[in-house]
Amino acid sequence: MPPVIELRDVWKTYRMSGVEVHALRGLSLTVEQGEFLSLRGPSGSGKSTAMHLIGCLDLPSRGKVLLKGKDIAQLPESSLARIRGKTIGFVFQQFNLIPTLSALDNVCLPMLFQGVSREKREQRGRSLLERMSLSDRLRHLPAELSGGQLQRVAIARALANDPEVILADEPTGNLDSATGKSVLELIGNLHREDGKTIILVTHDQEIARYAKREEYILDGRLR
Amino acid sequence: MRADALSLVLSGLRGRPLRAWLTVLGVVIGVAAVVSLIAVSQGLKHAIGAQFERFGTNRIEVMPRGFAPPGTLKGLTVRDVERLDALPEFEYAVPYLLGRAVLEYKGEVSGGNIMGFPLEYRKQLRDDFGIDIARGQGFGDATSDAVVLGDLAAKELFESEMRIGDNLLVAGRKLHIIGVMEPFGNPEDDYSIMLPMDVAREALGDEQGVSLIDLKLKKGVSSAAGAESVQRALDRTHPSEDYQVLTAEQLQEQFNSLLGVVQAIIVGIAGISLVVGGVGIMNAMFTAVLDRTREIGVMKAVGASPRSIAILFLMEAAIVAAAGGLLGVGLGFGIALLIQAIAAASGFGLLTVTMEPWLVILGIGFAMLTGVLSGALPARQAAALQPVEALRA
Repeated sequence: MPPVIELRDVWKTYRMSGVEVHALRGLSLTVEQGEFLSLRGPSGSGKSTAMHLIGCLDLPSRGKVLLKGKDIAQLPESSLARIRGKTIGFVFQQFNLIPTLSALDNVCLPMLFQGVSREKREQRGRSLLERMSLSDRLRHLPAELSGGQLQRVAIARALANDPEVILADEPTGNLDSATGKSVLELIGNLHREDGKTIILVTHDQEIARYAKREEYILDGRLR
Repeated sequence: MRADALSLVLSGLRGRPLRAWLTVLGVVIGVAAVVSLIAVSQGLKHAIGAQFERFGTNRIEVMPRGFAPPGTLKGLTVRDVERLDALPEFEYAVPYLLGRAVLEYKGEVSGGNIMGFPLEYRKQLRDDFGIDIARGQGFGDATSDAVVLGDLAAKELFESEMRIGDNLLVAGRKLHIIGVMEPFGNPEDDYSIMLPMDVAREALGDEQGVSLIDLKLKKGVSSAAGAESVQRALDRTHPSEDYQVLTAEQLQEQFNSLLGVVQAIIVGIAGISLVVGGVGIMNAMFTAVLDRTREIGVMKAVGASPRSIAILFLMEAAIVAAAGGLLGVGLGFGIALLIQAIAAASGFGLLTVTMEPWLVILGIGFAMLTGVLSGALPARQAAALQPVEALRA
């Protein structure tokens, strides 16, 4: 079985006001099914770019990104959308919930795009929010929730389609340390109890230690 | 997916109620303008059609040429009437004399439009011209001092409404009010007072003049042939053609083509306001795409395909347009009914607006079309956004 994620000599180059900026310079990384990996690096090291490529939100300038052996550069946008919806769950630093939707509707959103029936969506959405101890916040809008609650809604949303991979980009960046710790516990549980493959992107060494495997990225490649 | 997308779009709109309603308002104004103007001009068309139906297709009117209120133009005389009456194409020719006279009712003095006609044609008046009596009686077996009032003349000319059985002084001569006509729906007819020809001649001081000649065609004679015959007969005495011959068909054709032009202009103007509404939708949708770039990025990150995003934005535009279309049709008919009420209050009771189903469909359909067309470009823009860039916004 091919590794869940494989990056082969990946380069990512941006043009910013005429100047070429290399965000990634030959990054190679293999992640096996069920691993809990942290990708640590200072700001500007390319860790977020790497996460975008793994999450099919962007394509490499050079090199290959393989998801379960498939080259994402060869897939049409509609297939990439399907992979983002079914195989990958995102947890962002900014939470990125839809402000006009309730907690439950936010959690159900990824299932909606996969054509899951309303009944099944709501049932799963409720049980996921229950697991996040948010049963009493189903109908609340994001503006009515605290930072920790928002991130728990976001984790529930990431789990909606039962993806194999969870990508967490600085998930505690906007939380105080106690709340951040509980969020990290939750993410750790997803690895231990659900056997999810988890990639935790952070600049913080302490947070990186929650993972089973730690990688350090600097100037666009692993060190 | 469709029903779910709908609820997703609706909750998005609910989250920004002011902007949503303002966009809807833009469509409402456009649709209301189109619907009300078309409804009123349709009503106008029906009103004119009804007028001609009453006029009848077997009739020809001859009157002095020129643009002036009826009765003020001269030129035709009783000799013309005799000549036309003798023509084989017609059953008869009825002359009318119209003019303004001083009226007095219960001591109050006023001016009014009188219309004299020969009493010997009273039967034809009822049978051929469909003049219906609302109260009292017609000229059936009236004496030579009888007068029949138009609906508005009876109600409006004097402080108190004129009553059947009372006396009315016309240019000093005492006449007996015997009946009131059914409303025609236009003030010109409804304000007129019908009386015997000799009374009119005396009141207006006109021994020979004729304001209008009504001719009835014999069976099987076309109105065109009748009109031609009238022209031949009058050519010798009126070489300068100071008269005009009107047939119902000709008149209706003229009115309809004029109305067609007016309608086209009106609908064109109303259409512009609908286009403005569409531009409003487009503007709102482009703003929405900009505003929600990050939301679009999030939706893409959780698995929305470009198609889904496009559908969401198109649906939003369509919902705004449908709401605008629905409210606009309602408001449009409301405005049309208001215009009808105002027209009725000014004596044009003939103008009736009907809620025609095709106009409802047209109004809502046009709104939807505008919405979808205006939403298409912003929807495409939203669908084409790069996920990673959208998320960074």
